[in-house]
Amino acid sequence: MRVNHEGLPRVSPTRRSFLKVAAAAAGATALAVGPGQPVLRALAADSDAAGAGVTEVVRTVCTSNCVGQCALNITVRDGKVVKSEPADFPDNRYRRMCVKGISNIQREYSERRIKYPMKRAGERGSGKFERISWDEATTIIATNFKEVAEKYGPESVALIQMTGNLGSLSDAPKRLVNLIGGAVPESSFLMSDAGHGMGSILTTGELFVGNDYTDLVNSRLVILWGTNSVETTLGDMHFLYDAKEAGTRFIVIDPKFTPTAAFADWWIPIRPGTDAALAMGVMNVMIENDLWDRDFIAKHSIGPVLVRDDTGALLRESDVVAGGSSERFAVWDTVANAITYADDSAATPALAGSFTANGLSVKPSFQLLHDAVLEYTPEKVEEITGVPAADVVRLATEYGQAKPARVLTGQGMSRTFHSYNQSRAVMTMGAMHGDFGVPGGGAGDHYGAAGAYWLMAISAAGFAQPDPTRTSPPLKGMQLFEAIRDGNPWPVKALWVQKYNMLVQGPRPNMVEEDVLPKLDFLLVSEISMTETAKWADLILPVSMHYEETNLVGSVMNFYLHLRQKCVEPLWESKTDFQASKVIADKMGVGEYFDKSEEEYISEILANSPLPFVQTVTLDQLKEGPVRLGVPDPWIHFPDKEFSTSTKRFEFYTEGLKPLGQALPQWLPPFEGQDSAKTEQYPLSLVSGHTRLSGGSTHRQIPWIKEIDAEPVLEISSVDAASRGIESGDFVTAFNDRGTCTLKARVSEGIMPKVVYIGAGWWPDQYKGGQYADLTYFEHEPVSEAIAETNYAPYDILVEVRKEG
Amino acid sequence: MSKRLGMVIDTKRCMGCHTCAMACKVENNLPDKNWWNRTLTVGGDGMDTPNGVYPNVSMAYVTLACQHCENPACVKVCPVGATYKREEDGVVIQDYDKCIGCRYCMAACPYTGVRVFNWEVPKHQVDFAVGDSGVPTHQKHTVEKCTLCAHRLAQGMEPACVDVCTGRARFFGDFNDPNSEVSQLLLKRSHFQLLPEKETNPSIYFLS
Repeated sequence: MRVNHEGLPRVSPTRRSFLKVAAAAAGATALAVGPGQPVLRALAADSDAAGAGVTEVVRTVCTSNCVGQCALNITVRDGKVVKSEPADFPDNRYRRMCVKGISNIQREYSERRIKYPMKRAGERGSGKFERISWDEATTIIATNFKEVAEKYGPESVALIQMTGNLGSLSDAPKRLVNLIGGAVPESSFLMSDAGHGMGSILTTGELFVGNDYTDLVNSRLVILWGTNSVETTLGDMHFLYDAKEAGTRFIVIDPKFTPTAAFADWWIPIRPGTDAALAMGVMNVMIENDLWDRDFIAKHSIGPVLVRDDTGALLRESDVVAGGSSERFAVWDTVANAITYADDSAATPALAGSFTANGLSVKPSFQLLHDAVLEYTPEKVEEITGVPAADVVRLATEYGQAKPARVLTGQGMSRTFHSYNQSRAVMTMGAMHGDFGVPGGGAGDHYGAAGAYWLMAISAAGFAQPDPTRTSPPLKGMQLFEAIRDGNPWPVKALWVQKYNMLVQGPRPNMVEEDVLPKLDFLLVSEISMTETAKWADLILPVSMHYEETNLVGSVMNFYLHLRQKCVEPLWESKTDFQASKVIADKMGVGEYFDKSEEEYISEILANSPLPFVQTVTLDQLKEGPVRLGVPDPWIHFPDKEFSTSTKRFEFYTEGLKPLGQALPQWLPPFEGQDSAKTEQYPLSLVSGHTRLSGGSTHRQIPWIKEIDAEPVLEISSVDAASRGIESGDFVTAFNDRGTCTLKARVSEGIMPKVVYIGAGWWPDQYKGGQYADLTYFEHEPVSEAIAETNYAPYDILVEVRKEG
Repeated sequence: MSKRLGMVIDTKRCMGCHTCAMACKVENNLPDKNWWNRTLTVGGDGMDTPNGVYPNVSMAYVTLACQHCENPACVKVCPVGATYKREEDGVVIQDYDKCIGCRYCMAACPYTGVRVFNWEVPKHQVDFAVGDSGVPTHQKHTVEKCTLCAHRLAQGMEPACVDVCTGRARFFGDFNDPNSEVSQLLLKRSHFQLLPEKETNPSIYFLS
C-alpha cells in the first residue's frame, strides 16, 4: 500500500520556505498568457501590497470545527493564500486534507468577512451596523462589561465559545472572562458532543477511550455505531480501508445509508434513540449463547463486586468488618463460600447468585446486569429498534465470535435525550466482549483517546484560567439561555459569543431570538464572517482566519502536536482571538495577563503542562515540524486492563445513580420516539448529521462548495414520500409544535421508513423558510444533570412533512 | 520507449469526498462553474443516494475527468490540432491558443462532461489567480479539460488529485513500465475502463 510520496521533489515542510522571487518574472508570465485575465488584474491591484511578486510556502494547521487538524502547506503568492496542500509528517500515514481545507481560501477572501469592528445601527437582528475603531469598540465593551458587573455581579458577564477555531491560544477570551470573574460555560454539552463522554466516564472513568486508528487493522470486526466516518473523520478513513483490505469486517448501525454504510459489509438500520435497547439485546444473546468473556468480567469489571439489596450500594469492607476500608470492595469466593475482596487474586469470585454477608442480602453486580438484559429479548428489541430479531441474534453472534473486535460510537447515539445510557450500554457490551486493552479491541467514541487534543486541553487549562480565585461559579451550557431569559440560576446580562454560529448550530434559534436575546443588555459577537448570529449583535469584532494566526494545535485523531504558523497578516482590521482579548483586557484592567507574545505564551503552556512529555516539547521543535507526544505508538488504551474508576474496574454498575433508578444501563424512551403518542400528529423521526462538505455551518457559504452542493434537502424514504405525494425536487415543509422548516425533498431508498434527514449547518437564507434547528428542543435531562450536564440532543425528535403547493 | 502516463483509481477506497475535484479546481485556477474532475455517485438519482430498494441497497463513487485515451476520439476530429496526444508520455493536451471553439472534440468524446467550453469570459469569485502560477490562463470560446497536471509533471510531481487523495485511492504512473505501481496494481486486481466498447483505450483504470 502506498502511503507516502517519497522520491518526488516537494517543498520543505519544515519551515517557511521562499521558493521563487522576482515580480518581473511573474508579471511576464501573466502577460504571456493573456492580458485582461485574472492573473494580471491581481498583480495590478496588488502592485504595492506587501509581498508582491514573492511566492512562499508555509506549514500550518487547518481548523474549522473539525477533528482532522490536517497539516497544510499553504502557498502564499503576492501576499495572498493561493493554494492549500497536505503537509508531510514524520509518519506520512497522517498526511491528509479534505475538500474543506482546500476551499477555505474562499472564506479567507469572502465578501462575508467581517472587516472592521462594528456597532449596531438598527433594531437587533436587522443586520444594520456602522464601522467603528478598535479603540471605540473596546471602550464600549469595557463599559458594558463593567456596568453589568457592577449592577448584577461579575458572573452576569458570560462567554460562550465554540469550536470555530481550535487551538490553545483560542482560549484567550476564556482567560479574559475568567479573570474578570465572568461565567464561562463548558461548550461541549451545548454543542451536543458530550453525550458519549458521560457514558464513557461512568464506565471507564475517562472521557475519551480508544486505541490509535493505526490499530484498526488488528480488528477482526469493527462496529461503527451511529458513526459516519466517511463524512466526519475522512482524514482517517484510509485506516479503515487498510483494515478492510486486511480482512476486517465492518458493520454500520445507522438509520441512514451513509457513505460509511455503503463502505461497510453490513448496514443495520435502527430507529433514532433506541441504541441502548439493541446493545442490551446483544448482551442478552451473548450471555445466553456463552459468547461473553467471563474472565474479563470477573477480573477487570465490577461484575463480581457485591451490591446490597437494601440500598443498592456496593458492599465494602467497612460494611462487613468494624474498622474496615470503605475503598475495599467485597466479592463472594465460590471456593471458600465466603466473603473476600476484589483485590484477592486467589479468589474465584461468584458472578451469579444471591448471598448473605454480615446479615446483609447481596448479589454480584453481574447478576443484576444479567437480570436487566434478560428483559431485552430479540423480539422486544425488534419492537423498540426496528432491527429484526434475527439480525439482533446475528449481530450478537458475529460480535461475540470475532476476536478481537472493536466498537466505535459516534454522535448518532450521543445526540439523544438519554445519551449517557446509549453509550453506557454499548460500552458495557464492549466489556462483555472483553477486548479492552488489547490490539484490535475496545469500545468507545470514534475520537478514540482524543489524542494530542485532550493532552493539550489538560496542558493549557492554566492558560484559560490563570487565577482560579477569580472565576465565577460554574454555569452549565444548557443553563445559559435560562440564565439570560429567566435569571436562573443568576441573570446573565452581557454575553460574548465567540466563533459560535449559535443561531444555526444551537438549540431552537426561533425561541432564542424571541425570548432570550431581548433580555440581554449587551451582546458581543466575535466572528470571521457575517453569520446569522453576528447579525443579532450589539457589537461585532472581526476575527482572523487560521491562515492569519500563530497557535498551538493538538490533533484529536492522533497524538501529533503542531504549530499553526501565520501565513499572511490578518486581513482588513481583523485580529486574532488572542490580540482581540488583549486589547479588551487592557481596557478591563487585566492587561498584565496579556503582556507576552503569542510565541511566549505557547512556550509557557508547554512548559507549565502537568504532563512531562509535553513539558519537553519546545517552540523551536514545533517550528521544524509536528511532534508526536510521548505516548506508546500505537496507543493501546488500558493495556493493563486497569480502569480509572473507583474500583479500578470497568463499572457497568453506578451506585451513585441508584437513587435515580439508573444504576445499570437500560433503554429509556427517546424525547420523542416512534413509541410516543405524539406520532399521531408527527409520525416521522428527524435526524441530522455533518456532511463532508461543511464542518458545522462553517463551509456552507463557500462558492466552490456551493457549486457541488448548493441547498439543503430533506431526505425521505420512498414509502413516506409516496404516501404524501412527494417527489424529489418538490418543496416540502417539516414541522412540529416548535417550528417549521421548508426545503426541497430528496426521495431515497437509503433511509429507514419513518425517518427523515436534513444535513447540518445550512444557514437560514439557504432554506425557503425556517431552519432545521427551529424544530429541535431544549429540555433538561435529570440523570445527565446528576452526572454532568444536559447534552443538547437534537436527534430524537418528531416531525410531520407536507408537500408545498 | 515512450511512456503511457495515467491513473489507477481504486473504487473500493474512493469515499466520494470531492477532495480531488476541489484540488483540481484550485490547482488549475478553474473559472466559476467549471470542473475538470467530478465526483459522481453510482447509485440513485440524487447525490449520495443508493441504488436498490430499502434495505437492500448499494452505493459507490466514480470520479470522472479526461480519460487520456490511447486512441482519443477528440484528437481525430479537431480541425486545427488544438487537442493532441503527447508522443513522449501519451497525455492528451488542449492548446487554448490554437482552439477555435468548434467543440467537435466535445461531441466526439464519449465521456460526457469531461471537456468544458467557456461560453463567456471566464469569471472567478476571487479577483486573483489561485493554484499554480504555471497553468495557462483560461480563455473565452475555448474548450478545456484535465491536463493530468502537465505543469506538475514537468516538475516531476504527481497530478494534484493524486497528491491530495485522502483515501489513498488514486495512483499515478506509466503503464508502459511493467514494474510501475500502476502496472502492478492492474496485474493484482480486477479492473475496468469506462466505455471499453468505444475502443478509446483510456489510460484511467478503475479497480473494482
